[in-house]
Amino acid sequence: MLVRTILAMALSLVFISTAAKADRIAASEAVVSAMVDSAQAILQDTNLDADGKRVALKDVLNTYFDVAGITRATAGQYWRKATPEQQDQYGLLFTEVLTNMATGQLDWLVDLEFVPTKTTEKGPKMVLVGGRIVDNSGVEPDAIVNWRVATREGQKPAIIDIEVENISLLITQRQENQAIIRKNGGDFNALIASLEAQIESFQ
Amino acid sequence: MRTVAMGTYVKSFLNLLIGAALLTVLAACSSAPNDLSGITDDPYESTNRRVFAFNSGLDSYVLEPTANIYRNAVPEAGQRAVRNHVEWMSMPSTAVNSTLQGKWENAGLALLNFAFNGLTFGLVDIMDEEDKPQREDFGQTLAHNNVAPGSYVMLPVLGGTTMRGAAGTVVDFILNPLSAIDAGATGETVKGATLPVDAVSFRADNFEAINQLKYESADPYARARAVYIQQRGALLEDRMVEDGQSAVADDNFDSFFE
Repeated sequence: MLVRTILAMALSLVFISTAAKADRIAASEAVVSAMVDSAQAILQDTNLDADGKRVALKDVLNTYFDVAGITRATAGQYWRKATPEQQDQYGLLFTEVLTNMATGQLDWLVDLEFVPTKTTEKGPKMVLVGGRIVDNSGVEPDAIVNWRVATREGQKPAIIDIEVENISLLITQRQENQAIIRKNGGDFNALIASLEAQIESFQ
Repeated sequence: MRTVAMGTYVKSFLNLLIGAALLTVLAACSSAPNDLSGITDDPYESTNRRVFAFNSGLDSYVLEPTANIYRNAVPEAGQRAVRNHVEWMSMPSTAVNSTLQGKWENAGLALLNFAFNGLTFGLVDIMDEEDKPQREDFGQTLAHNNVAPGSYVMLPVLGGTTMRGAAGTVVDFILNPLSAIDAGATGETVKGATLPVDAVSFRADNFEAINQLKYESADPYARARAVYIQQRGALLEDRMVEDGQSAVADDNFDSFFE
């Protein structure tokens, strides 16, 4: 009897764990799919002017991405050394830079389509949703893209990184930010000044 | 008249193999030869940044406008033919380096691609996508033999690489059997034009991405270095992103869960 009970419990655990894994994968794929659909809808909306699209894209960023986490991670080890005021200022500027980057690609993004291929679990807290970006105009070759999604218990899944052809946007941004701070003797304000200059040049 | 300087070629090939073997012995104590994250330390950064500024100027005045004309004036089919030819020219090097790394299947695929596509001088790619070899160079062969990457260096015209990668580029040029063939005046012109054509074709294929790096980055040099580290790391590890493998180790995301 005891053996049967233990066996039943073990089987239930396996079942629960498999179901949880399937849930995490499905939820991650859903968040990426919803984000891509929302972005495409904005790009194709002829009623929105450039500023309107910019505001809508910023909203998509805040809805589907863990912007606060990405902000922290891109500052690397210098985040903890920054004052709360510097952290706030960096957060605001970095969100602007992210939005500018997306807005700057509007014309190019409009013909692109995301085709999911393979989703993989990355430990108990992350999922990698893989796929191809296909250019329907046929000009650009396909690009392989991975969306890294954080799946925290009790929270909505959120995208934390995009890898395009082996290049992680988060790691690239972090290394660039760290180089700027290091070049200026560890001064976090140098990063803030450089982001301000970057935003100004975009305008 | 075409002649093949086989004696000279074999001699240089053996010299290089001996050189590579010596390098391998010298670097035998190195660890994690595929891990390039350490090169962000960049001890030659100030010199590298000056060379990067020179390269950026060269790009602005020569490569970018040429690539812009090329992508607008040459039809897509012509651009694809150039891309195919440049890739075809790299097949002998891939075959040699795959063999040196014991990647026999890849070496075989490179030879097949070279032989079949050679019917059109590499301009038309008649092979299936699944029969494409992974590009292998001598820098990867050195890494395979545990030679440490050394520091990051920015080379004039050629761009960023590691000490190991720079040595590999020189060896690849000599290792390529095509460089030992005396192909006559026309053939020599075609061979000589390969490098600049490759550069223009690459710049045209990545026009927006490179412009974004140049004009929209807060620090284009640091961004270019970060991109190099990740792309090269993927090549060294034969990482296939389409197989669900990530470009980034999971511990880079610890801060999201603290």
